[in-house]
Amino acid sequence: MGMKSDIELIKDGKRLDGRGVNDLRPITIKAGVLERADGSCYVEWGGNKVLAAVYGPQECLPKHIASPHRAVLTYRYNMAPFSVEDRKRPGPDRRSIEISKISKEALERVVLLEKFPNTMIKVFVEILQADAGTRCAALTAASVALADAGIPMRDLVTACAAGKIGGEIVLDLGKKEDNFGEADVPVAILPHTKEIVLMQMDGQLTPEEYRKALDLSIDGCTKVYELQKKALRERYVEGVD
Amino acid sequence: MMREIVIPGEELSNEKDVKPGFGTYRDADVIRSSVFGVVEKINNTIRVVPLRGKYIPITGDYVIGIVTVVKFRGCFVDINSPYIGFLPTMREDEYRIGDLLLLKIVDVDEVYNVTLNDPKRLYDGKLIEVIPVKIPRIVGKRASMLDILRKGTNCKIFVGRNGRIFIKGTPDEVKKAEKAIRLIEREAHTTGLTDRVKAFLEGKIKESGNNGNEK
Repeated sequence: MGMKSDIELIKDGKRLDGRGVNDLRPITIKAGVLERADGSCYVEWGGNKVLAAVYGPQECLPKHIASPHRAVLTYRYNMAPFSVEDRKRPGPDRRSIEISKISKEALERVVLLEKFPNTMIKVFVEILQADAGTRCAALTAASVALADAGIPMRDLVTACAAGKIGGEIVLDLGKKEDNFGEADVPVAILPHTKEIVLMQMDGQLTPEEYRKALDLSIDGCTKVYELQKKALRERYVEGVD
Repeated sequence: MMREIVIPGEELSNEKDVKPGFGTYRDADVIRSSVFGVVEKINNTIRVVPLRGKYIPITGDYVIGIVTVVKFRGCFVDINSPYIGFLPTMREDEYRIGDLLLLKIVDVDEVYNVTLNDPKRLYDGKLIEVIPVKIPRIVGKRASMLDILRKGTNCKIFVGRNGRIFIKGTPDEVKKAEKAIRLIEREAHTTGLTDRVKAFLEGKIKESGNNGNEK
């Protein structure tokens, strides 16, 4: 964000990769890709490649974090060393700890944790390839993986970002747009109630621009939700006699 | 009867006289699904049977457990669940670590302390594990499917509600029974399964029926 460049991010209503201002990058979602995990999901979102695995509910370890009122949810967002242009030093850093925390809080809103006291549900998300918007792709994958594991939830969580590039509000920033643009607003919602469970902003927007970006990202979330739904349905071919 | 796959949050009904059953919740005027599963509407109750999930102990269930810790007053038993079972015993030396038991759950309290009773040792057979939510399908209505399996393979089959199945028989019979059980597990969400299992046991179809396979 905010890096200086002479690239023209928007030209005649078209973006660098040929998208219009309201277009998402191509997204593919596949549920149930891992044999060992209780639930799993693989998402390709433009250049992002994200793998999510869910374990649980299982015995809560270490025992002192267990609660007799609800299950404990853990979320680990991790970037592979080879996911970015320069090698990333492996292990959690300031950024991934923050993303893990806010994504966990987003999922705690939907998972019916009170059904499984004294247990823990673990969510692992690995970013295999990063291309801007990984926290949204990760959360989208994680909620499909949770549903795939058969864990009761109020709703899925759907995430999508909007931002400002070249003075215009656009949906789903790509890598160059993120680096050289003016603002990025990742949003996660519950598709049925439109309740916001995650919202951040990087860069600067006026209140009007912010409202426009929020509405646009919610529209984007609705499109992503349809793909999540399709991915889960495709896992089981319906037996019709 | 409806057999439709739904995902969490999906609206199931907005009729006033319909009651929310297992796997559903009421959100203002509508009933929504809380799990990824198959919708079933019986009388006025709508419920969703999940396609996957862990076994949660319920009083009265029969389960197959493995002894993991032996204490003076009883032993802790792994029951293939997030919760551990406790089997009270009179003496310390009644069971040893690794013993396989068929048990009855006699009590489950609000924080899921599980008390077991009625132990029966299982030996000389093969233990297999399936997804616990598929067990009702493997047993069938009034154990109809289980009867078919037992008759078709000549095996003694003990089914735990926790997804563990113990099979006793000759090696070939056990192999056949396991394949039949895997077929049911894979195609549990489809209809006309009884006939396919019968056909499989009679050798008319190969194990990989492609009707509604889990991908």
